[in-house]
Amino acid sequence: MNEFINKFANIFDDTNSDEFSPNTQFRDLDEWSSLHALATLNMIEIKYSVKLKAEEMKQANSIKELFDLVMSKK
Amino acid sequence: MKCLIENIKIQAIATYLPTNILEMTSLNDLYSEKYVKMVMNATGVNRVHVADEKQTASDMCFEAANMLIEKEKIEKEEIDGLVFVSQTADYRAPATSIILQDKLGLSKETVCFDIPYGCSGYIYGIFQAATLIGSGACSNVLVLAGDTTTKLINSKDRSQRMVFGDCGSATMVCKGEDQIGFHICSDGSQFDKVIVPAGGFRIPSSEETRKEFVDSEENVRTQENLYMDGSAVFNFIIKYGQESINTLLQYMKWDKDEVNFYALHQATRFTISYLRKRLKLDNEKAPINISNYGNTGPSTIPLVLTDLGYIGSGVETNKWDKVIMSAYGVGLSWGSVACNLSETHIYKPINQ
Repeated sequence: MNEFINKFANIFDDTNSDEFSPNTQFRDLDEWSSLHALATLNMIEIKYSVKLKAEEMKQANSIKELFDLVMSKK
Repeated sequence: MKCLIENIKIQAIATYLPTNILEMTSLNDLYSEKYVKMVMNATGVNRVHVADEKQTASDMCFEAANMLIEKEKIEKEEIDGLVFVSQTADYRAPATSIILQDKLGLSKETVCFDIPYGCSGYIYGIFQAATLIGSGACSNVLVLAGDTTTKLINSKDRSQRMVFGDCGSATMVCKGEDQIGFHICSDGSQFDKVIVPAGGFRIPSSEETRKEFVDSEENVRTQENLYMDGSAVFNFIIKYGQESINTLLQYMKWDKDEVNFYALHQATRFTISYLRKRLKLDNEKAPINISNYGNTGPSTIPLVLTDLGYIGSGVETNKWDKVIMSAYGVGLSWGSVACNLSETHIYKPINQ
């Protein structure tokens, strides 16, 4: 889980690392944009070999939910 | 395609920015402050330069070329090749490069080419010039690269309007003592990911193609406007942008940290920042200068070089003996160039 949070946080340039926790509602982050969503899907594919679709990612609201979603597809 | 072309040098680079400026925050009322803020955050674009109504890409490149010829004290009769890289040519026919041959007062013994590529275009332009010189066909080739993308997009297409800006450039490529490495690729299976669907002969212009429609993200366009599939392009840049740079570094036997400057096509701040992270490049060596200009298509590479490394800027470009340029765009096409710019005269952008 922590490794996932780190990889997710790495996509961001301006957000403080302490803002990233399992419960973080990532779409509420100031920096969040549609490009961040694309980068997240890209990261998940490269690092976890899971090809998540944009619609599937919409089911997750917190980082933990996203992590669980990715793990369920492995 | 990978190759090394020898006995060549990039002598000088100049760029021209139109004087009208569109501040992104001026779109707050039209698009909503929240939307504008979110997009600016991701694209990194605060403002763009916009060509005048009657100003074309060739006009902008003409200004840059004129300045270059004057500053470099080039004898016009010595220029024997002209390459015009643009997707916003003056006419469907004739080629704009020939019109420029006349406007610039070049000799009739000049060979002229139009290369209709966009964001990846500069790579193609330099490649064309290099092959002309490397083969002995030409001695001095002017590469003029620019686009008026703001005229190709629909002003009600929010996503595009906040990304693209206009700019023209001129680069002088001559016989010399350097070598330039190239890596260029194409993938036509993704031709529809960045496209102006109608107006060619596949889908001729008609009343139907001029009708505006609204897409799923509230962007308005017609079939005669530029369309870009954002997520496909993002994935493409991250994957192939990385691969191309790594391929060329390996081919040149350069270590990525030996490279003094990475001039990357400025697609959006986020994309370049992400690409940079994936390649583990030093931020200072791979700068992002999109904030004042937007994505200016085939002129982003000369623009990042002139904007940041112009004579008088204080940057030690005489140390730029290993430079990587990399671009990716419509086609889909992509490629990288490995060159020496330590003796190149880099001029401050006109109207910076």
